[in-house]
Amino acid sequence: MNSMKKWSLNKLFLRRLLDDARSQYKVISIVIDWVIMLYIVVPVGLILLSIHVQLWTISLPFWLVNLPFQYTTFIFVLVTILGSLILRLEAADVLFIKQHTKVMNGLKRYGLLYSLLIQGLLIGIILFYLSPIFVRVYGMNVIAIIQLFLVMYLLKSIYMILANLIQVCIKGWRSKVILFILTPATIGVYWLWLNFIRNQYFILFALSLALLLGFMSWYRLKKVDRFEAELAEDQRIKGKLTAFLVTQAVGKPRKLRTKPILFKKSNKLFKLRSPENRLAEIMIKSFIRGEGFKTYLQMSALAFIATIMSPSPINILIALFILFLFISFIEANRRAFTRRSVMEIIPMTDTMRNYTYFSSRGVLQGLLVLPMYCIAAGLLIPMIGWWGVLVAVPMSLALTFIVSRTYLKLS
Amino acid sequence: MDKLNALNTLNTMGTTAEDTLLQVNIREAGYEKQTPHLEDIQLQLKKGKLTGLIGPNGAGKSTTVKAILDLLPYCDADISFSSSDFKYAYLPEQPVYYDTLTLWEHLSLVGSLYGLEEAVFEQEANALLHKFEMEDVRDHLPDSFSKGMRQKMMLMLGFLIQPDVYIVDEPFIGLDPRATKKFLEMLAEEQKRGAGVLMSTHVLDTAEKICDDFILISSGKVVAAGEFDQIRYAAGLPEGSLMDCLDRLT
Repeated sequence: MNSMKKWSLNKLFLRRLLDDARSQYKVISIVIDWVIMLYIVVPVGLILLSIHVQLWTISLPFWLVNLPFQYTTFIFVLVTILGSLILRLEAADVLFIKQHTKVMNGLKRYGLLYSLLIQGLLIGIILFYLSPIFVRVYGMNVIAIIQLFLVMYLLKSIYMILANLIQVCIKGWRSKVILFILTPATIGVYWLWLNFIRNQYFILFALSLALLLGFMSWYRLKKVDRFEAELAEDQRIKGKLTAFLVTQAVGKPRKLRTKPILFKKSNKLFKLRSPENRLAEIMIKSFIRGEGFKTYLQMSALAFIATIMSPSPINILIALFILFLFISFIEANRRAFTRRSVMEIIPMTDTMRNYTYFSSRGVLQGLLVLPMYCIAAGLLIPMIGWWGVLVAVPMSLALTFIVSRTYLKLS
Repeated sequence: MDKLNALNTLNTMGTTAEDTLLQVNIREAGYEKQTPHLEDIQLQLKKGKLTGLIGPNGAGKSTTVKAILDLLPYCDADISFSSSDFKYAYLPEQPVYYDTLTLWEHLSLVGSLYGLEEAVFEQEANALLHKFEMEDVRDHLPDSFSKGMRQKMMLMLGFLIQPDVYIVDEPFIGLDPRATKKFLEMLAEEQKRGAGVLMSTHVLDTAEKICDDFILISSGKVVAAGEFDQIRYAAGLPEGSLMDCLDRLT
């Protein structure tokens, strides 16, 4: 009977985790185009990985070598901001679960443990990523990094529970004031450890924090039972991500423009005025004025960073991969243009379809220049220094010309 | 669908095949084969004539238009055009446009698609801007236009290619009386050139005044077709209005 109850609790909690993940996925899906995200996530991932590897291998810049250890406080500030305690209560619990004290307490216990686990993982990932700096700049060994992890983790966990208790137990302006004090106070404790305790009394300090965390956890689970307030706090924390994402998605209402900002007089882009070039011209202008242009600029900047920071010959592979991403991105946008409702109402003949097909060359020619320049500059600067900025101009023009023509032959 | 068949038959109105621009014979059409929305719809569109596709809401007017434009998932029909270089312009109920392109660029898009030489295009497009009094907004984005101006833009896109047929879906919704009058005057000009117009509408009093003939549709079927007198005769209301006839027949 007891094991059955435990199984139901495990299942119930797991179900809540999955439901939360699903609802957050839905919210994110409304805001994010997963295909476009792929174009951002892949280069960013490559850049981050490349930075981590290089932090182990390259000779570190002077400013980084001379960075005082006190600067790790900024990492702790980041850790303090990221993540809160969520007990994973639901409004319907008041009807179905609240009267079953053991299940209710079990859920809260799982919620607390899960939040602590996630915090541990998050801090672990951040410290692991920055480990080359700890080892190479501060000469820290594994034990010292684990000590740093423990201090950050214990302090953040206590902070998280305290913040939750304040929100649940104290109302109005008092809670705001106390929360306002809590954050700098926690950072202050970290600062104290950094400057006065780190080398001599670590075990005592860590044990004290662990005991305090144990007490806070016990107090949170056993001594506080305010279902409405706990639920409200859970909802507030969960809603934070949604609110953030929705703000990003909805943003300000789009300003109705009378005239476009760019190409105000429908300027000509191609010398050769064939129908396919004129079509390409219109598609390029539409793209530059449209929503995708911002992503295109961000991707170009990322392409430069990814190629300049990667060691040879990996940078060549990265450059080719990024080039492939850009061609697909530009082509996808061109195809989307030809499938819009305006085009649907135009009776298309084979000749017209040919014009749109051949417009691909002009579109690629116009839109591939910038990313090609970023890639070329990223490859050339490590090889020939800042001359690469200049040499990249003819190189990118020539490569764009070749690629746009070759693509049409291959497609 | 069997498109681009040359017409070689005499039509029911007694005019010659040369006068007929578009001949439609929809046996069955709809969004699913199992549940067709349209059955046995025949219509002909003649040079310089305005044919009204009339019916209550949900009668199948827009579905008929979609069937002619080959926009339906299921359509068993013969749609024959007067020639192999037949051109039509479709004016949807809600004007559609690219919000990132100016009026001039929309014209240029259509001009490029139809392979017009740039010099010819510029001459024609400038003449159209003048004719439609849209020169001041040549480089403006259509988002800033009124519905009337957007309708004008759609008409200009049509005028640019000088189509044989205009297929117009519910043009009067959202237009004030002056804009409606202007719109009709422009369409009449195209009729004078010889273009045929198929207009789907349920604004019956206007349709009664401007249409040369009518196709009355109800529940996806033709209930009467022909000139106004023939509709009155079919309804048994020799003095009745188009509204009375529609009321009687549907």
